[in-house]
Amino acid sequence: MVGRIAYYAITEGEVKYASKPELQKSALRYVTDQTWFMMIHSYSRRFSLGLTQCGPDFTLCLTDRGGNCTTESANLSGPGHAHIHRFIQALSHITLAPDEEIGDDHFFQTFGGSFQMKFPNAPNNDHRYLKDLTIVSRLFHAFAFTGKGTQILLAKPAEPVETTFPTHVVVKDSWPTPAETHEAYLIKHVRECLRLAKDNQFGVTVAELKHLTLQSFPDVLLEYFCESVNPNTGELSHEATNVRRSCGLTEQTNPKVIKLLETFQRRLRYRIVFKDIVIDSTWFASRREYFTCLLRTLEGKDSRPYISWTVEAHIICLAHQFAAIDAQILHGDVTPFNQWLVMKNATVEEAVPEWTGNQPPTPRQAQLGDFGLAFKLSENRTFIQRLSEAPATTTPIRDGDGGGTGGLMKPANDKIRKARDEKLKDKPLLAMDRSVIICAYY
Amino acid sequence: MVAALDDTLNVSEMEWCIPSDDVSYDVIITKVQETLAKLPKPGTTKHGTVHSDFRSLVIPGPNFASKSPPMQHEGNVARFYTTISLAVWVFLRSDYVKTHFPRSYDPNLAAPREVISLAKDYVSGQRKPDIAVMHRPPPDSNLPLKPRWPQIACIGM
Repeated sequence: MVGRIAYYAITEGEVKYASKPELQKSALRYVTDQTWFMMIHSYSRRFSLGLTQCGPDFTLCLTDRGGNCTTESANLSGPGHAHIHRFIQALSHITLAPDEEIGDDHFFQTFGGSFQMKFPNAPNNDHRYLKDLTIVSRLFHAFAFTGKGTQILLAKPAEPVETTFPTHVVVKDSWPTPAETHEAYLIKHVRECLRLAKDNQFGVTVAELKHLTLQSFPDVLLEYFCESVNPNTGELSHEATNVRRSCGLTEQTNPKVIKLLETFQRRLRYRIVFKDIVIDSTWFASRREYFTCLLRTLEGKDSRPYISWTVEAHIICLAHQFAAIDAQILHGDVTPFNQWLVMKNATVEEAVPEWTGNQPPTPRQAQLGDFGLAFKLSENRTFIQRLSEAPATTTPIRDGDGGGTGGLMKPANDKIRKARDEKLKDKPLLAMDRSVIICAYY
Repeated sequence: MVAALDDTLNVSEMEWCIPSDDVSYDVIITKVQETLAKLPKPGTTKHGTVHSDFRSLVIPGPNFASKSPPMQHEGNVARFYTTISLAVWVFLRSDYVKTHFPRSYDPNLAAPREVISLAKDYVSGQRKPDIAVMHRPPPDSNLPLKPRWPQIACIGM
């Protein structure tokens, strides 16, 4: 039962069954870690329950996106039947209760199979179909590297739209770091720099940038708040939490009570809508496609022979380094999960293309995405210096929510904060989703 | 009910009994029903512990006070939890509850979720909880040998 505890705290030969406070803390820490892992692997998991039993102590812990809480232990060897009664009640609840009461709620608005998302401020132009989206499935989940639980969800307009509108869009759903909240602004900034460079207004020769294309960066068209509406009740959803890792602490006044330190509590959800339907590069259909994706996202093309690269061309032609050098934006999170393959349609065939005999399918369009950890390079520090620093020191939080990238973000900060305050005026206890809409064109 | 379970399964302070592997769920259910039938009827004032004839079917189970890692500990714990869940399930659907606690009576209460040991398994090739409470599978499906995370309702150690 406690086998995995050995991984954390117990050396070979130690007893893992007798009740010990340290053992219980280790067990709780581990089961909390795993319940989080379990939760993010299921669409409809609203929270996850874990149980530990160390010696006579039976403890339940609940992990949700707001943190962890742990019950006081039921001591099965205690006097009378009170503790055994609690133990049986708790265990029976886990095995007998309805699915939604153990956290599996298929109507859960964020990770459920289908829920509605409204963008009430979407303009009444060609993008009016974004006013009302229905999330239909999850395309992939990039938690492995960052641990933030970023998800890419497939959505479709809730109402039938004209044939000229896309049938599906993609929603990036993530927990915001201060820098992330302005991801759309960053992407827009990069694209603008790229456009200026292409027009030779940025002091860079066009010849050096001829291999870069706008496809390397998603295009930011609009920025909006998002309201998530519970499809059952029509009420505005409450998603204000973000806790991923916790550590167990023993309460000073009662050593039997273990509390888990909560971090990142009451943080806002953040969503971006893309026009492209994408999957991460680990879904490559062939090795060629995978390496093509790497080259296209980093270089902006895939046909330039390595041997002809000069140092200067090498630096300038890398798309994400272009962002760093010319746009002064460092992506900071280039991983296989942030290098995307673009699908023409949201179909299984497009996600997993078939080979024709021994012939792999043509590599799909690649795109560098997820600028959530990107940051504005300081003018008095060099690119190399910033690269060598830890992200925590390169994304300073200046004034709490939304100050991550300093002066660059000021206009966006004010706009977002003002709109959020207006939204929250009559709903002080509700946290609003902060979202922007991005459509990436070719 | 608690007393009957305690009397049947609790050997000592930290040592518990479980039904042996060859005892089917149906037998466990029958034995629990027989035990419930011995409980006092409404209006009676009889007191005392109700003994079940379960004891002949049980074997030593999880020992939480063991000085060394007990053999099959995780499997025994899973069996232990399953037995308790089955007993409670039968109890909640019994006539005893119907007459004594009518608000709790639910003849259609779904069967308990399976509790299994994953001590020697991995889930999705990455990690393993020692105990897993599985979601109820669709009626026509078998429990997979190596479950995936979405199929697990709750984990334990």
